[in-house]
Amino acid sequence: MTSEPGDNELVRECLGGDEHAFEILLLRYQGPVFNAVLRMVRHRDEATDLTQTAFLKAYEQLRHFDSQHKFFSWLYRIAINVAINHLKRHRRLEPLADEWASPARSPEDALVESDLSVHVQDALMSLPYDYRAVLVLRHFEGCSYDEMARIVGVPEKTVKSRLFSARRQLKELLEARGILR
Amino acid sequence: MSIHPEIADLIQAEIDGVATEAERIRLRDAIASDAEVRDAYRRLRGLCDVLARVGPEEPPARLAPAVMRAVRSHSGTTDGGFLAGIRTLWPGGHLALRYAYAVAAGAVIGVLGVHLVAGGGFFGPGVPERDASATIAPARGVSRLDLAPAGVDGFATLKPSASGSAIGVNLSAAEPVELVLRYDPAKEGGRVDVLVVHAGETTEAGSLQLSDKH
Repeated sequence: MTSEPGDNELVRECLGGDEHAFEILLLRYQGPVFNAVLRMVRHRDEATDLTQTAFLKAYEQLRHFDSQHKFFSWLYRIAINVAINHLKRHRRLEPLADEWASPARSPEDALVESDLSVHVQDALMSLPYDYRAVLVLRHFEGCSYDEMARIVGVPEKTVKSRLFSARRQLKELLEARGILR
Repeated sequence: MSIHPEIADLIQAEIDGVATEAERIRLRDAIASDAEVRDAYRRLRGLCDVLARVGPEEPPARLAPAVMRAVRSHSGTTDGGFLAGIRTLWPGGHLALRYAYAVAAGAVIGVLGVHLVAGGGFFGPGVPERDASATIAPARGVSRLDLAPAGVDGFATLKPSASGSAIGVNLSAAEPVELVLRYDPAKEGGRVDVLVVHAGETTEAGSLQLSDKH
């Protein structure tokens, strides 16, 4: 029986010149990183490009990785920053569509017309980047408060309050959409 | 809604599965005695249930091969000069295609590696003016970009010249700095993005714009 090598072991091998070790890390984390970036920017093509940029950046910066920390936290941090920088550059603050302001429809109506994922993504896109990031990390990546604090670079207390506010806003948006009541 | 912050914390801790036994008991009491708390808990739980139903998406099959191509390119060209470095920054996918196209079309005005020693600085001559004028539309005004936000002491300018447009860089650096200039004619009437590469880290400094506003 063979066990899979740990992240830190792979990082060491990679720093020793073994590209295949990085490929294993890539295959291990491309899904979560891609999904985190996708939830940040919405568009698949952009998410693909940005995920690629994040991994390459990680490769270039690998010697700076502190093995006292978790590799995936460090990788997420790079990816989230790449996504946020991209969003800031392109000023993609998507305005609330008019329909969000209309009276709530019944969940049945919403279900008939909707793809839940699209509604959730629409709502996410109307939130500020920092709110979006903690929601994505918590709900789609399953990060703990401590991990989120490391990734977004703020104290855990700030993460908690940010997450609470983000959830409240998202909840209101989805309620207005009839997805929640 | 005026839930006490402490109760809000308890609700969130419970939802996230990190509440202690004592906290759970306090929350249970609060839910039992306060309809508002009960409603807040129910709604937040509902949100989390909805989010849990949104499944992950598969990354495109081209992603991993593209990253590995870039990694191999990077490994093979670490000392291969600035252009090699630029190729690794945007190794594939749409960005690379866009840039490749831009190069082919003569729309990329220049890729500039500036290596300065302490106190060094220059303006203009680092970018052959005829290169710029041959590939971009004439500038209609001077645009200036402070590079300090990108960690570099200096600025870049874009201004009219006899043969078209000239990009100037004025830097004061204690160690080597690389600048990447990226021209996209489709954005805002023609935009030059300036990126600073420092210790392997790429930072977008901002844009110089070819518009009448400057």
